[in-house]
Amino acid sequence: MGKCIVITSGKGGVGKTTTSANLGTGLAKLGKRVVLIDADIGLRNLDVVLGLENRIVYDIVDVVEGNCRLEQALIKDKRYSSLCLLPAAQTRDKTAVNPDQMKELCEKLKKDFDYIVIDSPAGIEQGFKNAIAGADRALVVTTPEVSAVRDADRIIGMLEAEGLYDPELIINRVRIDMMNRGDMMNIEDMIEILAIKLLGVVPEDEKIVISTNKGEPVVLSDSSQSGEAFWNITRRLEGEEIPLISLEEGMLDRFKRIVGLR
Amino acid sequence: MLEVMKGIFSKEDSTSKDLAKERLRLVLVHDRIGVSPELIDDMKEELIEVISKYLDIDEDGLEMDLDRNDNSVALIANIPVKSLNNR
Amino acid sequence: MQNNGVVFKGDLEGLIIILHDEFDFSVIKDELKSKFIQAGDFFDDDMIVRIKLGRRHLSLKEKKELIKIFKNQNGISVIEFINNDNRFVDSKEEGDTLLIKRTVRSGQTIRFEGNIVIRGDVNPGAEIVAGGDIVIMGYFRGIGHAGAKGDVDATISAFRLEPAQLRIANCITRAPDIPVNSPDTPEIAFLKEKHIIIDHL
Repeated sequence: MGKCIVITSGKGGVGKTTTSANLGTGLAKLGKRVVLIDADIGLRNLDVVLGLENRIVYDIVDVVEGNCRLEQALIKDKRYSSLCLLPAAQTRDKTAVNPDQMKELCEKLKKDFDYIVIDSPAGIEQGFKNAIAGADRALVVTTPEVSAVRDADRIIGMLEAEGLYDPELIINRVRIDMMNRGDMMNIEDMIEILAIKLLGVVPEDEKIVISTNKGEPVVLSDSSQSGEAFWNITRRLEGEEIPLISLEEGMLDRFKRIVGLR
Repeated sequence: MLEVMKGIFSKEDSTSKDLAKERLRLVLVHDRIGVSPELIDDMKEELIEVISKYLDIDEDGLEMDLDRNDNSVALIANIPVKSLNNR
Repeated sequence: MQNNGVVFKGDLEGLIIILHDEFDFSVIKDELKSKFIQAGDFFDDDMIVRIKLGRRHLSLKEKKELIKIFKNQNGISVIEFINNDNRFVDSKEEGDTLLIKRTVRSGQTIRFEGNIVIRGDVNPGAEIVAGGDIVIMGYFRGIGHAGAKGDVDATISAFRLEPAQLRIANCITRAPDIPVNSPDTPEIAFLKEKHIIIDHL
């Protein structure tokens, strides 16, 4: 029986889709059978981030409405045959699917996959409720900004209300230089305020933009900081104990620069 | 470069992240217990009314807000007293 | 006039006009006319309108009357009549070809039983579904389905053909993963022995 993980945030633009794509791909790289579900009906993007946009024939709404079989709508990834995408519909809205249907869908998929990773839409309305309906575990993505952390807090409360206790936090788009200067809330600050378990920290990285342009998740590249961070998070998801990418690395960088080693 | 040096050598009293943290803390206290600033204002007015019956207080100097200590939320009111009312 | 047999609703794709089926046809007609008069210049160019009929079945004469009312209203084009059992209801009445004079954007679907001509671009994520041929007088970057009811002779042509996916009758092809430089000329896609072929136009 597979596990169903929802990736959510409340606020938009913090990196839910990027996180979903990278964790899904990362889990497949670990040899797991993974299905990624894009729950953002009407504003789908996970297909583009994975570079699968031109293969979509059927989508989640077609499955729910019985226009096709579930297997027909699953799109195989280019790189890993054990990774599939169930795309959102672009021409419909969030009300085209309801939480019960979502739950049923997840139960079905759990039989054939090790992991179901659901990319939730922003907001707290029906799209969010659909996304979390079938989930066993929730990851909350935030950035070190007051607005994003506030929304994360709200989402954590809502997850708990729906029985998803102990959500885990991913802090995205972290700039170590700004944190060191005291111009960005640091990891400890955010953990203290949100009081949930930290799953990982991902540095701000322009490689993310490039990887999205190409449709290739950054977790596949060995040389990027963000890719390494997503890879570590993937392995932590699987239960491995991996220390956080420490801030010392960033400190070291800065020292080098000061002393002129760079 | 200068910016970097500043960051290391001068620990300013309050950096913008401390400000962010403090603001966030307060916002969340309100969010979590669902008390709006308007409600606090109403409460403030009624409190003034009651206390004024017994004490001469400085209404402008009255401060009242919610605060959080670890896991408990406290309503903290700071009410300057001018003098005891002669009743 | 407060019958509410006619309800206007907006959605992603344009305007939906619901003609409630429990009202008498003549009542609907009158209310529709007066609503259009009230609306005045509200409709901008080529607002896409779908008409929901519920369980009502229209006679040929009634359809013609309705279409006449819509034709007299500037700024809208009727895409389809929908009643509860079938989405492709007799929009042929309007003529064989639908002309759209705007860019079709992501999330929008143009569906028509006859041919579709678009004077504008079709952006990625937009879908064009025609019973007949599709002609795009601009960039075609979305999904196109010609001959949607099984016509294997249907074609898709565009001033610049760079689609995500093409479907003709029940055959599908998709863009290559590594984008090839498409020629700066108009192209046409057609079906030849179950394969979709693209050629210069």
